[in-house]
Amino acid sequence: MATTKTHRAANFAQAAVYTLIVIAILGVANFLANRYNKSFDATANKKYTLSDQTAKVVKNIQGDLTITYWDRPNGFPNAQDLFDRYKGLSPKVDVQYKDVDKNRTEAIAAGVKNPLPNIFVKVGNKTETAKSLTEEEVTGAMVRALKGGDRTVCFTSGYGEGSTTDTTGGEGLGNAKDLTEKNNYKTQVVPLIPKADIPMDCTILVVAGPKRDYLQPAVDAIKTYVENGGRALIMLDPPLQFKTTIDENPGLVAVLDSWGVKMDKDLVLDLSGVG
Amino acid sequence: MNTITIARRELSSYFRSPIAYGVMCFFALIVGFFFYSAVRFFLQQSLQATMMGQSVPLNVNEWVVRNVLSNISVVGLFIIPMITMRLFAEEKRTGTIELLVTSPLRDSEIILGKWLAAFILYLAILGISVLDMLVLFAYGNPDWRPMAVGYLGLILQGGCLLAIGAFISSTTRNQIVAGVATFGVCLLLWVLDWVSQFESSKLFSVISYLSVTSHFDSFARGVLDSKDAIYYLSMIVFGLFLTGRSMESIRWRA
Repeated sequence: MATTKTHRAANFAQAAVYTLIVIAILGVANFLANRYNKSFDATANKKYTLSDQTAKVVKNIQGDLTITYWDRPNGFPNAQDLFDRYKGLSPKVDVQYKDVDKNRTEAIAAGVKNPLPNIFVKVGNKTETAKSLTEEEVTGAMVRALKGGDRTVCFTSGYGEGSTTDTTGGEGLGNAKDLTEKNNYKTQVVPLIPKADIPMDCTILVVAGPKRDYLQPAVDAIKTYVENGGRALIMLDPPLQFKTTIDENPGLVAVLDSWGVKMDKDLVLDLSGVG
Repeated sequence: MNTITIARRELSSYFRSPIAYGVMCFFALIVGFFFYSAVRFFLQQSLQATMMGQSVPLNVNEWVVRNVLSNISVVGLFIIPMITMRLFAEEKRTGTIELLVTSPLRDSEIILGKWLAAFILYLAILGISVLDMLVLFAYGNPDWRPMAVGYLGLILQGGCLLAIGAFISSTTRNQIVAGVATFGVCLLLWVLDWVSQFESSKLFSVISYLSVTSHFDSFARGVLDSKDAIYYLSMIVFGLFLTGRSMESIRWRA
């Protein structure tokens, strides 16, 4: 009788040990699978795949990245659709879903404001806010937190440059401005008249097709800005005396020349009548 | 080879009893209802969107297929206990389990054979829902790839719950007890997600990870995540392993 009992106990112990070993193996396999997840998005337009730029940003983050999503619980599943994809990019990404009603004091302390949701992206010690639940906004907030500030594209104005409020196409810069903002840059119009003063916090200065000659103070301002380490995108139309007049802009051309940049006055003529 | 023979014998016993037909009818009715509701809602929304001047058509995969597949995954929790409850419990009740364990067959062959039979029946049941999807192809233009990924998820989830059901069935001689216990475990593995899904503590993360349905979400969207596939495969292995230990215990407890 005693032998049977001992035999049973031994068998039970053996089964228990086997089970624990299997649990441990499967646990480790799942831990690794969760940490190094690989996704295959079968949707036609890769709807559930984050862009290469986002993947690059997330993978290059050295410290921890915490996304805090403040909303009411009915908004959480929608957010999870997006944030799960961020979590899939790197094990460093931590996402916290916070119910504003349950955690009212914490919400006030965190600076949560209406309208909901509020999305805070924390990289290291720096926290940035994403304005909406979109990849552009969330990744933009990450980039801002990483770069330690806003990136601003400055458009010059005052000499007949394309307008940033004109979205009709042609010479208007409205669509370009919208696209720039969607790519997580801020935009600013820098008037060169009456006083030409280009702020050094402009990440890049855009001179988009001025129609009139820049006066010397404007030319000097651009020269100073670039020679002090600023970056500029200068686009000049060839001088024309047809319908609208486009001046030669000799002052700016001379400055470009001094930097070794030669402006040609070439024209492309489209005779098809379509353009 | 022995595995196939056992699977064939099990399958024929499923189809000789009213279980298979009953479960199929139940499934066709419920899924048909979900499909009808999803399509009806989709049409209403499409009409509204057109009236509001939206030029891009609504995505049928997003609005119909994803919802129907998610519903099927929940229906699966209810039908799987009906499939697995008799697998081993019936053999135990009639006493044929002793014949099986003392036969030259290996435990693994018996377990795999029985699980395979249940799995094939599950696939046949799942196949009924494909008829609904064919209607979408006849009248619309759904993308078949996310749909295929969704079905792969359902197959893996089914395999996992069937393995758990097989283990529970091997622990009792009463089919009803096996069915109820399997249903309870399936339900638990479903609702685990409710309490822990959006919590960020490590414990809740682990609890949420154990939930069967949370792993199905990405499949329903048309995204194959390796972690979800590995979770299901692990659960299949674990369920079958436990069934093996349970079978073995019949020998040493005798």
